[in-house]
Formats: sequence, structure tokens, C-alpha cells
Amino acid sequence: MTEGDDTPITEEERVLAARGAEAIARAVASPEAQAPARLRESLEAQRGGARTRRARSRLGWLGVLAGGVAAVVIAVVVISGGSGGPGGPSVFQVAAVARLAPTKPAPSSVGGLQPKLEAEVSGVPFPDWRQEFDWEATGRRDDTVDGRSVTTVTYRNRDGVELAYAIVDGDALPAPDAGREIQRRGFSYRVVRRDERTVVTWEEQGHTCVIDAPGTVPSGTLVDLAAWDNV
Amino acid sequence: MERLLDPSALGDHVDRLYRAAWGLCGSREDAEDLVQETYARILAKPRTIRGDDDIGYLLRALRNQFYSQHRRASHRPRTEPLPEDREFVDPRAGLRPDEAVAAREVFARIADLTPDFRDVLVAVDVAGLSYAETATLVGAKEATVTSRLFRARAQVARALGSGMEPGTEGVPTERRP
Repeated sequence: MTEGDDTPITEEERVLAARGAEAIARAVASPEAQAPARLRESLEAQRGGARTRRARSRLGWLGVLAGGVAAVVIAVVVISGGSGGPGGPSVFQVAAVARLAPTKPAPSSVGGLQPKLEAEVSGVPFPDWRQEFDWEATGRRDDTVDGRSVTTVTYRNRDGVELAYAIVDGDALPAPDAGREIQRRGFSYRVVRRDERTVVTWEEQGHTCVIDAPGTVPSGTLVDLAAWDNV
Repeated sequence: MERLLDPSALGDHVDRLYRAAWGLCGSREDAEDLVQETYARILAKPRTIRGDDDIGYLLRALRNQFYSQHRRASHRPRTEPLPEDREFVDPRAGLRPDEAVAAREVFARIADLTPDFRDVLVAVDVAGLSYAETATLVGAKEATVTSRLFRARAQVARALGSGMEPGTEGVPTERRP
């Protein structure tokens, strides 16, 4: 029982309660208290995700071809886009390339207490999230973006949602100004939502790591994934 | 009578769940994540519910998700919310800045309540559940729900008036789980 459950309500409390109820009712009725459009869209996408995946599998090679054309268009846009400054691409350019279709098979797992994949960039390994988080590596691609080598491993969860994890070789890129910062295990993760995607970026052993995922994946989940092997 | 929860009807409850999540978390960004995670969990498999009580079921799922997240979060350093306003320029039409500030203040004060008071206030005043539904949700008698609700509202009013967190009487506190 909570303190005060069995004590009578005083007149002063009644007056205050009425005032509080008014303030709460105003807040609840405020446009501010309506769910943002992006949340509605994200939930609708979540609900329709399974339907979309079924439809995509029915499309077969036609879907693959369309995806390939889209990938080329994105690549052209990214390559011709502005850079992130003198030190290389921006985090968003890296994310845009990372979300392209993989060109190589997924690296195999090397196991261990915190399982890794047989892929790394200057000593920074890609994690194997299959056992812990049910995200399985599905492919890999290697790109050069604005003069910097970017290695990406793609992962898929059991709902068919896909994300890309990229590591940029060389010095860390400047973190984006936008978004919010989340701390986990003493490390800092920058989370940015834009264009219905969520991008998480952080530094690991002096290199920039980027996760690019659909906006339907909660940012907390992405930071959990990012932080898992960053010890 | 038992029936399957209709996923196509979930969109009807987004506003209420978002407000409830905001009241629990105290931050709009965390509220969005909480609603997303709750829906993801619910949609992962078919759900059987009793009667027409969709919102009661959803609110229970939201509350469970919130406390489950809190338990996990208590094992690691605290998440620092914001400054995200720069990124999220809110496009909702008709939003007045003074109203927005007042609403944020009220939701922040609700989130600062102790869990027993907060759960009741969020269920009744924010999500619109009846006293009976709330009593079932929090596992208390209706009379207890009534008295907690009164006191929760009074604490919010007191905190808004003094600029202090509810129930602290001027003693600074950290946000409660």
C-alpha cells in the first residue's frame, strides 16, 4: 500500500487536485500531446512490414532488378554529393552507401565469448549478433567513399528487417551536429533520424562506425547493438 | 469473450499510448521509442484479448515494456535525452509555443511522481481509462485508485506552482523509475 492510501483527503488537497486536473486536461488536449506524424508512419510501416516482405518475395527477380537500379541511382547520388570535409565523407554519405545491397557473402562467425565475424577494419571487428540479438549477418560490401575505404556488413532479424553496419578506415569522421547523444557503458553514440531512417554513429578504436537502419527499428535497440561489443 | 487483437485497429490508439508513454518517461523522444517498442512486441505474434478492451491491453503492454526497460537500464549508465529539438522541428499545425511549453512541463511533472501515483494518473487522466479499468491495471481497489488520483493531481499542481518536483517539498530528487 502506498503512503497516504488510507488517510482522508484534505480540503487543501481537493483544491490542489482540481487545479492539477485542469492543468493535466489542458496538456492532454494540447496539439503537443498528439503522436508525431513520424511515429504514426513508423508504426504503420511496422504493421505493414510483413505484408511488404511477402510481396517482395513474390516479386522475385523483378524486385532484385529494381533494387539494383535503385542502388546504382543512390551510388551515383552519393558519389556526386558533397563530402564531409577535408578528412573524407560525411557520416550520412557512409550510411547511404552502407544501405546499398551487399556484393559479397556474409562473413562467417569466429565465435568467442562475444562472437565476432571474420571481418574487421584496422582491428575493429564486426560483431556476430545472431545469438544475443537474433540479427544474422547476410552480406558484405566494400566501397571507397570520398577517398576512404568503407566496409559494410548487412544484418537481418527474424522479422526480415535489415540494417547495415559500416566501419570507415582511417581517422574518425566528424560526428553530425544533428540528433541526440546517448551514453552506454561510458561510450557516446550519436543517433540521428532522417528520411525515415535511423543512423547511429560512434567511434571505436579511433575509427568511425555507422549503423543505418529503417526508422521502424527503435533507436534504443540500435544503440544496444552498437554498444554490445564496444568494451 | 476472447478475440484476436486486430493489428489494423492499433493505429486508433496511437495518440493515447503516446501520451501515456510521455507521462511515464517524461521525454517525448523516449515516449516515441517506448511506443514503437511496445507495438513491435505486440505485433510479433497474434494476441488474444478479452472483450473490447484494446486500450487496456495496450496500456498494460506499454507499462510492462516501460518497467522492463527501466530494469535493464538500471544496469547501465543512464541515457541522456536531447538535445534533439534541433533535429525534430515539429511540423504539427496549430502548435502554440506557450501551450507546448506548458504541456511539456505538465508531462515532466507527471513523470516525476512516484510510480504508484504516476501509474494511476497516467491511466485515468492521460490514457482515459475508467477507475475500474485502472484498478485492474494497477492491481488495487477502486477506492485506492480514487485517493491516489486525487493526491497525484494535487502533487502535480503543487509542483507546477512551486517549480519543484511533486512531493519533494523543495528537496531535489532524481527522476524516479
